[in-house]
Amino acid sequence: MNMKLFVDTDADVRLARRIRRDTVEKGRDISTVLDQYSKFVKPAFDDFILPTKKYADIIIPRGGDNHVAIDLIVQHICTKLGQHDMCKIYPNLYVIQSTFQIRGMHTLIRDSLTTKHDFVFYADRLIRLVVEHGLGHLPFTEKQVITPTGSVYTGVDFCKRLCGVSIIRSGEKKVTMVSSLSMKKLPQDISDRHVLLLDPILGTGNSAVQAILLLISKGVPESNIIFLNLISAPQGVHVVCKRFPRIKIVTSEIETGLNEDFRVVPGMGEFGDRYFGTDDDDEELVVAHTPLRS
Amino acid sequence: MDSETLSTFSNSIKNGSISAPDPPKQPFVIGVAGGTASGKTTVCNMIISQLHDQRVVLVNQDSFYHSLGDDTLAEVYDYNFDHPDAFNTELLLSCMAMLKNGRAVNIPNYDFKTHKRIGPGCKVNPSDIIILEGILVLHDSRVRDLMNMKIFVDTDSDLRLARRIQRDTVERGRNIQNVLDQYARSVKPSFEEFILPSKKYADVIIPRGGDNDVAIDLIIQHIRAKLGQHHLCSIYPNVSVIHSTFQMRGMHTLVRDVKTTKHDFVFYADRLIRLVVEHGLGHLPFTEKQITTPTGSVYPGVVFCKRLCGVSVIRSGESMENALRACCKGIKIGKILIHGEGNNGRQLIYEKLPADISSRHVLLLDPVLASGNSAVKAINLLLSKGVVESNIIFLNLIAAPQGIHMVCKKFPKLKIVTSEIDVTLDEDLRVIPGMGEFGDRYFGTNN
Repeated sequence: MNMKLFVDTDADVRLARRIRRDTVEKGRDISTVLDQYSKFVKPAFDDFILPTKKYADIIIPRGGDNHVAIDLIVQHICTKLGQHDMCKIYPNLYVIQSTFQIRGMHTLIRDSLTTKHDFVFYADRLIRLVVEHGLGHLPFTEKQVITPTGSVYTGVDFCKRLCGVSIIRSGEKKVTMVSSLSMKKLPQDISDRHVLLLDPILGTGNSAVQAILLLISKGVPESNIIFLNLISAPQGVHVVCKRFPRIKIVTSEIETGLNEDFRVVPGMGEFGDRYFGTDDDDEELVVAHTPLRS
Repeated sequence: MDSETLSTFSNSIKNGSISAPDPPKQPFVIGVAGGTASGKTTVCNMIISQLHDQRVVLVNQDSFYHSLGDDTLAEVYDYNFDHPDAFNTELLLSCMAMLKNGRAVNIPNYDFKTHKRIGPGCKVNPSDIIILEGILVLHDSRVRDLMNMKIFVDTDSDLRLARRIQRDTVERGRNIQNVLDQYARSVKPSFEEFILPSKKYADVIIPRGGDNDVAIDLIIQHIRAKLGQHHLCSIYPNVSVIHSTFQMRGMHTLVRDVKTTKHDFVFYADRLIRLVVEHGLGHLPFTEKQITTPTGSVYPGVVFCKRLCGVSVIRSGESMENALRACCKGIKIGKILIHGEGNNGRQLIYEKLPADISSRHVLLLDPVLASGNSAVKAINLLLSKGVVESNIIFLNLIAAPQGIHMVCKKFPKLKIVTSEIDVTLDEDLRVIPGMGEFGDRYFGTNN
């Protein structure tokens, strides 16, 4: 153990709680509870549990009502958990802070039994969080405004030169296409824009590298690219971060790895097929594109 | 009002914004108590030296010993230095009050050889973290009430005696008989009568003192985290402010700007509200669930808490319903209407809540937390319907410090999630800098 806690609550308080739990919740009668307490519970506490208190690093009095101590432990665990190991290696990799809600959404989109409708709903919610996080990395300029109460608010002005570029895969042919969001091709002036590169799954990193090379060949500075993923395999992160140390990757979870078919594990299957419901024919999702390599 | 505050005040009037003086920034106060030679000082010194941060100061209770008169000095070996009356607690309280109000103080310089205060004392600047250390700092309830975290360093009495003998004979050159006499006559009885009973007020007990690296590391990390937070979050662990990015700051700039159009106001308020809602949902409980992915791998996941509802405070709170519905399909949403001006006139006009609300987690929706008066009214209503306090998550876009103090003091188990903490309230109880009448701007009902 790295940290040993002992929760220390007075014996009478513990007995009162036990009586309440065993009689009300478990429906046992009071004399049985007291009998068990004096025969087994108390001697075991005195002989075995109490003597282990001396090994504790921290003693927490009063248990669950002690908000200050719980805050202390929670904050500590958060700082220890804080970073995925890969974030320590690559300072340009950002994993959005996980909550049970985010973990719950991941559970739904990863489950092979989830319906298309639910898949889209929860994937959209997660993607929105990734996009918001990604936008948080854009530069800014300071700006002061006057609020309706007449006070000054020192805020910031958004970076205006921005565009999104999504990576589209034509499944069987393993050809990578790059298409711009809401435009027929990459914007003319892309070289002086910040680019949000969109791909829900970072697997081997091969398509990502091709897409990033295309952007750089169009004059986009490497440091102006923010690559947004829903999930990322460590292999892909290594490939992209080593080759392009100045781009930023924002993702919501780092996976275990890739299997022998280069599919992300545990993963969520073929994202496009599940999202667009195009298990048989995924040609139609390639709406507008510029072939990168044919 | 002193002249400095007065001039700040008149300056702010000149600038066109009349505002009350800002509430002083509250430091996070940690009390460290424990018996003689328990390792308190070692623990505090390790904390201070590892933090290397001028925003952390140490105040020692020993500095507040009463100076001894000549009569007492003649019989100094009979004097009980471990008794609460040996300390000038009034002076300690006034020094701590000054520090808490953001003013520098002179801490007395107590000389242990002459048992008198000497020199001009030591100047201590107001800081973000104040550590108050001493054998009896947990004894007096007025001193305890100043503290945000109370630590008791607990070391076995034989170890403490051994350390004390070592310290008093080797370092201070006293004779062993003398030391043992004093220990039996005053140190031990005072420990049992005053110090040990104060242990029950501690939030955290650290066994073994200075040798306990794990505990010291834990406290240091905690202080570091507190230094990085808004000061209200360090005082109230149940206040959660969304991590700010330039994008969020940019959205705030737009919703706060008086010149922003209704269309843009709604767009950016909605984006911010959605982030607040997502953050709030992150505080709900869960149960574990393993599922299989399409690649055939097992994913150890979680299942959401199902017993959930929203309650919006009419009218502004209704602006947050869409974001909640967009995240939680088919969620039940209740409504509360509270009306009235000022501190005492808040009236509950209307309520429509789910019948089974007592068994649900409640997301209480109100974009602006100002004085906290309506919030308290709304929360009291929820509690009267049987909702468990710790099951309430109160979601705001912006919150004034006054409202946070009011709600958190009254309901320590409820959670507040907000995207920014504002500076203060003006005399009309409007949030400063604020964003004006939220409902009017969002629903376009200025006239």
